[in-house]
Amino acid sequence: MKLLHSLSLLGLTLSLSLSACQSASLNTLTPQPIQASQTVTTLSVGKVPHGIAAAAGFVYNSNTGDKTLSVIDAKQNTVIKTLSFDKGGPSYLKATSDQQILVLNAESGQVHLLDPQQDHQLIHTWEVGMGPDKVQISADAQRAFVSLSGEPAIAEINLLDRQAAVIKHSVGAGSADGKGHRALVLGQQWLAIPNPGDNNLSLLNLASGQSQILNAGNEPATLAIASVDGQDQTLIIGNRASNTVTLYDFSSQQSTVLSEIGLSPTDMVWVPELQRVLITMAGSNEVAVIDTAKQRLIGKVAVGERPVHIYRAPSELSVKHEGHDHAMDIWVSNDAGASVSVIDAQTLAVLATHTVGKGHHKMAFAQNKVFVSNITDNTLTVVQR
Amino acid sequence: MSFILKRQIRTYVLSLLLCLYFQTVAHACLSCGCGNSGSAADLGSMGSGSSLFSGGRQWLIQIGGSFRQITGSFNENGQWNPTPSQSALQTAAASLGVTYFPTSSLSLGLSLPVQFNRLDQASWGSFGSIAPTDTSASGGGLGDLQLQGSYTFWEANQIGLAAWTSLSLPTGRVDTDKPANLTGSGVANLSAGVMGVYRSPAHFRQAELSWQDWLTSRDWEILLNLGYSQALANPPVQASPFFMGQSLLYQVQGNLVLAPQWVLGLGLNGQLGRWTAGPDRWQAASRIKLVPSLQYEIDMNQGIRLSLGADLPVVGANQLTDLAGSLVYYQFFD
Repeated sequence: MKLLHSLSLLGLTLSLSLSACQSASLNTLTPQPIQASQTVTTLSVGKVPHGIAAAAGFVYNSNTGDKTLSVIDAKQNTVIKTLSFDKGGPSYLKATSDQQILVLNAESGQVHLLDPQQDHQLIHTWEVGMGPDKVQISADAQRAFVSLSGEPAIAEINLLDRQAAVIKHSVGAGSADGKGHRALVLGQQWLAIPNPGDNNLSLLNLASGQSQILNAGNEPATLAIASVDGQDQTLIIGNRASNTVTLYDFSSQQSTVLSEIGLSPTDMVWVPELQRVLITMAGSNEVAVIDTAKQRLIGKVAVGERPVHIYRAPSELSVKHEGHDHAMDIWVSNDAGASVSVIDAQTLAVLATHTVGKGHHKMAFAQNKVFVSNITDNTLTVVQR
Repeated sequence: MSFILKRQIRTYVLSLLLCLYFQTVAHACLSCGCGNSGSAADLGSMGSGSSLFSGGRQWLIQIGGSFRQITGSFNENGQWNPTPSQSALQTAAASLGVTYFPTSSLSLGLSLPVQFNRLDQASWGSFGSIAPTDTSASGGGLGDLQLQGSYTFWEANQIGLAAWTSLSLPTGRVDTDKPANLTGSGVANLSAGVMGVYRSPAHFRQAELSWQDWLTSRDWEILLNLGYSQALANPPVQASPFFMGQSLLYQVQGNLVLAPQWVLGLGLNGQLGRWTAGPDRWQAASRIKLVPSLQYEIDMNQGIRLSLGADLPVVGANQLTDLAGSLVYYQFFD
């Protein structure tokens, strides 16, 4: 008991002595008081909902616990269908530009294509490789690139010619166990992917197909590409173990490292109109805002506990309100705080904090609503925007 | 005099072998309570170990337990950050160590810890980082086995020099899916070094010291130690809580006979090294510990030692920091 007491006292002393260092961070913005949630509905789905996307008025949700896919009528807030697959189960989801749904099946190594217009039927399946984890679609909507956590490659799918062979691009190594998440970011000319097994990144030139290795900080995990006038200018890299952000200039091939941005950069969203990137700092409960043109930290916005995923609400679904347009709304899921925070990307004010279910969250936007998956509760929370 | 000093040097060396190599679980040793790899308690009793070999016996058995609370981590820029609020990363360990002394100058030993981890709302990550989570997990298992040896090669008056070496074997668990099960570094690790001891002219035999002796002598000793640790392969980055990279290890330790049978120690132990951070890449790895300790000698052959350790959140890079404590019982016999 005395030992524990001594440890506690020592810990308190150290904590006190170090708190001054922590409070010295720049431009931390005070959060707004929590506002009463707008209309909120809770939907029961399958077990361990994780992976969500919206297309053609429907929301699709992966239930990784029971390997099913819930289809939700976004207008009615009702689950209208539950789908399953011959092998494995759904994980990451992505809507295509023509309002179909790509379903990654990490267990089977496949990518499925569902069509909402055809009663959500499976219309094609690609064999892509081990552990498809994330997918991004090219700006011309012709190709999709799939990160593979189980092998050192990216799979390229031809969305126009579905019978075309899947192309594999060699990149660095995935995580040691072949199961870890692996981000993927696609710009106009470049694709970037972290190589967890090598502690670096691979850059793939989309035109030439040539790849190169880029070193950043330790455990580069989250990425975004800042493009201006159709040209990729800066690759933004969140280094989770280093607690830094690397800004890599494609033209000069020089990197700038920003530190004191917070702890554990986890996810990011690029706002081109403002040339800003907003990055969730899961370890310090804030969102760091970086001006990519000036290559400096603008400020940090305090949000809920353990902010992980961050989204920009689609402007095409926004409804004009007096004094505020949704086009700059940034939605942040607070995984340990059972809430989502809404930030104005321009003013950096916290516009609202909505209570949702428990656990890790992902979001999809449809019918001017936000559908939030709650991995612990086996539910979706629907927030009216 | 020479014989007593030799014993002290041998004791120091034993402590170093058991403790200095604190980067991996295999450093576990009960003479220093370092059942937890990387723990500040690993070095907790290096200096106080100098009083152990007052009996000149051939065997030593040590039994103990330790507790480690991760307090934060240094990032690559050397900035220290505390663990996320409302989170806890803790380790408890028990260890058994056996050492054989074939001659007065030579020692051979092994130690093996069993470890239990609790990761609540956070998890240890690569390169000494901490990642917040929204889950709690616990796990554990056998740690890394450590073999060690030492040889006292020079002594004169109150000064002695010895060489030591240590080999840890990856008997601990590396479960990349479940960080709470992590108890080993995943690689074999070799370390070696040289240490020197200077002690005050007065006899440093606590168990025989009277109050009057203590008041007149105020025995003390000081230890300087320098070593190097080298992994024999690249460990998985997930094993960073139990592996600290290839490192130069250094220590300054002072001990004072506080009262008859009681020895108070204070050490400053550091590491200066680097991680293998990917193909042809390296990152710094460093930290420094403050280690007070208190030892009570029950008699000439047995005693109890309490050591506390705290990583100073002042200077470091790519390392976890902790508060730790250990309690060890030791006994010599023929």
